[in-house]
Amino acid sequence: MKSNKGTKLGLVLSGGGAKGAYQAGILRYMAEQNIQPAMVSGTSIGALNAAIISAQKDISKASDVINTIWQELSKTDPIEFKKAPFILSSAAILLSFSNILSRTIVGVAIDKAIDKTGLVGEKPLNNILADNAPVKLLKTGLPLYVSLYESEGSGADLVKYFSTTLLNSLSKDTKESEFKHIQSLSSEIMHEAIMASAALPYLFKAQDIEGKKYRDGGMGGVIHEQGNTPAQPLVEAGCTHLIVSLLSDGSMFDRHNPIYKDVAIIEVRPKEFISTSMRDMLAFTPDKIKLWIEQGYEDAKRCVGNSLRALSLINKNESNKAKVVNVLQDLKNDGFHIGD
Amino acid sequence: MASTDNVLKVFACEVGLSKKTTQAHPHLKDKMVVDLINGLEVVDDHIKVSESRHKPLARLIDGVTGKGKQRQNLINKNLAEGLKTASIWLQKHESDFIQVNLALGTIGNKLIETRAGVMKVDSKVGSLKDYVLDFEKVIKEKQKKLGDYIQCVDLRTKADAQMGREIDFWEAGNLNHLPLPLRVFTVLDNLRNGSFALFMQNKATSTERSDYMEHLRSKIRLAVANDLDEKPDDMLFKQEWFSLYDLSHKLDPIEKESLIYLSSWANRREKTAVFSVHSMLEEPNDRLPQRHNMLRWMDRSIEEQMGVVNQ
Repeated sequence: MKSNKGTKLGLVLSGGGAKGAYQAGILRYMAEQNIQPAMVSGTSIGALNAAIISAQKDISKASDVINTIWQELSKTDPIEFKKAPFILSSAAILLSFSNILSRTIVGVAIDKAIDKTGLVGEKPLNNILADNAPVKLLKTGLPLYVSLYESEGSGADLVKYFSTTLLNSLSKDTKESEFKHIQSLSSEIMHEAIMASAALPYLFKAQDIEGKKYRDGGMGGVIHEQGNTPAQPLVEAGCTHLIVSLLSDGSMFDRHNPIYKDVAIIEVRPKEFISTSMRDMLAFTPDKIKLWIEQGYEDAKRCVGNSLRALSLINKNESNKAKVVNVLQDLKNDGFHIGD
Repeated sequence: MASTDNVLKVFACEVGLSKKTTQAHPHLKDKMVVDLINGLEVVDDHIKVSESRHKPLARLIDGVTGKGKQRQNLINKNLAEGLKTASIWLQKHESDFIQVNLALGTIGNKLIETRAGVMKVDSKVGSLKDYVLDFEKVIKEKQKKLGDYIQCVDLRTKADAQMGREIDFWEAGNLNHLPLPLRVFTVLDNLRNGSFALFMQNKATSTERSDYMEHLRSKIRLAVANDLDEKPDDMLFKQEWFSLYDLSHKLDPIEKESLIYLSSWANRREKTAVFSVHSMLEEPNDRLPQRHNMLRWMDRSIEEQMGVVNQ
């Protein structure tokens, strides 16, 4: 799917923590097939991957950089837990679910304190962004959209997220995430917005973007994965085709949502289970990362490859039909006649 | 032709409709195809998760939270949309088949038309071939006739030229060293073996032959009369004719020998005129008659020497 006239391809990278390695495999397949997106969007780890693709622009280059980064991540865990706030955070998480946090003065104080620091240091991720998606490249890169969830405080966000995830339709859905066009933001907050998209409650501090606190976009519209699968901004930006990478088994992303009625969406879904527990989100281990990269590659080959093959056959058929029409017209108008 | 036009009209109409539809929704086709092909992957994913949640507690939770229903809805929606797409796709395929069949029909009609044309051409080529062969035959005949005619004209010209040349040679006095009968013999012998004879033998018609012989006779009579300084009709029994016999005794031996050889073919009974020449050269005193009708002798000599070519 090269950029034909009238075709605009968008790449949507959903969130899923360490499972983001799966997207490195998808990129490898796209690079092999020279499938170049015109724009890209992401949530959480998907936003970090998307930022690098945006900055590198060329799909082959982006694939090389991202695959290298993920192989490095498997050697050096990017999640550095801070010792001091660890106990405080653990207590806060417990308090969150007992609904005490937001009701007591102490609880609110703890929540605010954690919001400002986060349990995990941002330095490794910031370094990755600075090295591979510097603001200078982002500004001239592929259009990039990230999904952000307006925070009401770590505790409240976490409670709402987990309760909605567990109770599903028994609970009211979380409010919808917002989508920020990175190139429209000021240079100073571009990286913050990307980091905000990956800021899980308690693990990372909330980011201040244009006067509002934002967290992991994956928490918005949980029931239908509105925030975790940021396809909407790419459709609104004029994409005609989307490749959507989903990092969970049985994702509730709905391609038949009316907002996608004019868009051809190729979902890359895992054929085999991609994860067996929540802990996989933080499993930056060599074996897991290698497995996910391969899984992403194979699934992209199957999902994208089958769709493109079908499209290619149809295009060839249409092209041949046009030739037949022309030949018939030529036959009709060639003035062939043999007199008696 | 009319049926071909109709087929083309219907085909063009269908193609036009098809183009209109696709132009109005340029990505509709891609979406339909991707929804069908990729939608099956979505269904597979949800079925995979559904099958993994077979334990009672998981089923209870999925039932209570509505997740199971949500999942099933997505499966149903993807299957329904996929089937819808498959149905449209099948219709499109049918439409394509119709178009292909129409195209085949059109091409078939054109093929029939072309084959009929080729057969017509073949038939025309057959007739033309016969005509060309006949024409070739006629041309060859004409060519042959023309060749013959040219050859005839050529030979006639040469014959005329030779006759003129021989008589001129004689009248110029170049044969004066010979007795008169030998002059006649020599001229006739030259004509007998030259273009004159060729023309007379091969190309001249009987009328021409008769005319040429008459002409030759006149020329020789005139030449003889000139040599005798007489009118042709007055030289029946001229003494000079006989006195000139004496010249034969004075001939160069080689020339004499040659003339003897040239006249040796005549026998005494049938070719008497030529034989008399032969005898005059070999035995002049014994064989020659004392009085001789010159005109008769000349006619006889012409007849004997030119008889071969006058047949």
